[in-house]
Amino acid sequence: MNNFFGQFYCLFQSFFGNNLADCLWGYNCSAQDYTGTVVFGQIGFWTLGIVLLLTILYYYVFNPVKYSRWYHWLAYGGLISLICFFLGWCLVPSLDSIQTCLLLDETSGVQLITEMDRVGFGLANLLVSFIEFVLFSFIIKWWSVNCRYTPF
Amino acid sequence: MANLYVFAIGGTGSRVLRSLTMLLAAGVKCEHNIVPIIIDPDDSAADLTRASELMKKYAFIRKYLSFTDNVENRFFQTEIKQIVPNFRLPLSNTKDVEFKDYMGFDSMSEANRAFLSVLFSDNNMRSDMKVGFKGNPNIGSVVLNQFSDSKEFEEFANNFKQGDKIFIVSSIFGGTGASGFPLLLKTLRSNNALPNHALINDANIGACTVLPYFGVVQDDNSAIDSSTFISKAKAALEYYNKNISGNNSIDYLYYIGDAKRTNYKNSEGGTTQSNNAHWVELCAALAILDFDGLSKPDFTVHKEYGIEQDVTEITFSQLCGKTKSKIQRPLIQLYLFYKHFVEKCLNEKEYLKQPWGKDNGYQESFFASDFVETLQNFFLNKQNIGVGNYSFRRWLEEITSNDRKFKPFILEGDDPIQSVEGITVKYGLFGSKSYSLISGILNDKAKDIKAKENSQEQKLLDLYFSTTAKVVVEKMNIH
Repeated sequence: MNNFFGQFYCLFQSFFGNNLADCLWGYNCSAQDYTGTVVFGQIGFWTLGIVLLLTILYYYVFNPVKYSRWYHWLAYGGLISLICFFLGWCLVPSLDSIQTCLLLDETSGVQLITEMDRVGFGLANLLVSFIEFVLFSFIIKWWSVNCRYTPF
Repeated sequence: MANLYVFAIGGTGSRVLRSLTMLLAAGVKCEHNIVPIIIDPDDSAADLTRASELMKKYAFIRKYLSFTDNVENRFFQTEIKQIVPNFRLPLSNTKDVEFKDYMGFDSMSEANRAFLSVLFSDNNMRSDMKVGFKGNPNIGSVVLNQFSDSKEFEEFANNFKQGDKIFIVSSIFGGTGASGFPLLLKTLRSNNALPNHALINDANIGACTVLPYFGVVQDDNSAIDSSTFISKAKAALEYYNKNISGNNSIDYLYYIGDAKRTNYKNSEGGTTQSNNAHWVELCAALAILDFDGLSKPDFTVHKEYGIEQDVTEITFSQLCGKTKSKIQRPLIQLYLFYKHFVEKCLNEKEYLKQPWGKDNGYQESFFASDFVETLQNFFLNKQNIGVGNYSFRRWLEEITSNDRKFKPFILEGDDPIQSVEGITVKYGLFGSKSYSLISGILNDKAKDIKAKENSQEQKLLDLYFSTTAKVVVEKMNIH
């Protein structure tokens, strides 16, 4: 699953850069190989679980009559994505904990991973969560009483 | 199914039919088809027009519906049959003619003229009968003698079958009703020239004679004077005692009246005679439904009607058990149907947005059809805000506006479910409320309704009936 989530997140790698991607793939500076913990799986599962839970809540628990139009659904999806944006941002390793070979260019001293890359990963998680929300919506909507035609 | 012929005499008769139609639209049980026949010389009376229009709308809606085991709906269940044009038995030679000319007074012998002068005042003689008998039963008893000769009355007799019943509704304190009831009863019981006369003569016949329940504002230019209502009623009751119940010619006789009376505008008749719907008329309509289930007795049975408490504002709580169980649930269901259908379904085009509409393929074209337009008019009749408004909404407004009012609903309420007087519904913290609750149940029911291969009209009524039934049973705990 780590591989699956990793490849999925790396579709949006331009948001968070190669070095942060390497970090998340578990690159080990000492071994100069990907022998560390792959973080993609952990973040991916958390995101998937939260999106699934909130989608189920929308279709079966809130099951709204009034707020079942496509734009309500879109707004709800936006809210889930926003939550997942912060989740991604928080779960990605902090700059302090990233190994130096990934964080800094040792020859020029340029910082290779910045706080913006972490925010970028949050954005990637936002997109991933929205795709999952769309996917889950179309799978589970048919059995909802009030939202079986939501978004359409 | 056997027929129950309802002869509605005069303005009160028409108004009772209006209340009866509302009860039948709500699905109050009736074992017979209702065949209304209005006897009123005033063919332009607004009360007659309203009743007749309302019943036509009812019949139009009902023709799209069926009531087999495969359908849930019970709204509009009872058939209202029209066997005479505009449900009215026409009276000939009453327009633009004075009473004395109608009788051929001028060509009578001097002795006969002198005799008639004893029975009829000069005002009576000069009375124009275009708008009825203006509270003069002595005129009515002469003029109404003719109705049994009409081909329409013969049509009624021809249609009469074994098991059919007859009910007569009239007021006792006016002109048309007070005189028409004994005449009609006499014709039904003893006229051997009618087709099927043996069946008719021996039929189970009931009647509701409505005692004074309203007054009119004193107007010196009007022939109607409500101060005479009580004395007229007393005189008529004395006559009925000897000639109707005294000789067992009627099987069931219902007396309904009210000592608390609202004063209406004084109108002799015509398009301005449009009295507000009244609780007493609803009681008279209930008498028809009570009679519907009764078999022929050996002797005349007299019935009266009462409420639990003498209050000026009657809600469902003040009704005695039998009435309550008969009308409470159907009327609440019809009210919820009306509110949601008009406010949400039509005004907000919910049928295009909610699953219940999409599941059943409802399109704008269906909601622009004659069926939906008629249903909307039955509920609201927006185009006619004047006295001609026959709608359910108008009926509710009127019946809550008298001194003794029947106020089952808070009409101004934003939440139809919380609009039933005396009933508070507790909503869950997260559950839907108000119109959304109804829409949610519609969505839930839509899947079952969709599976049945019925017409769009049938499905719409099935949906609303099963939904409102669920609201009433589960949320209001009314069974």
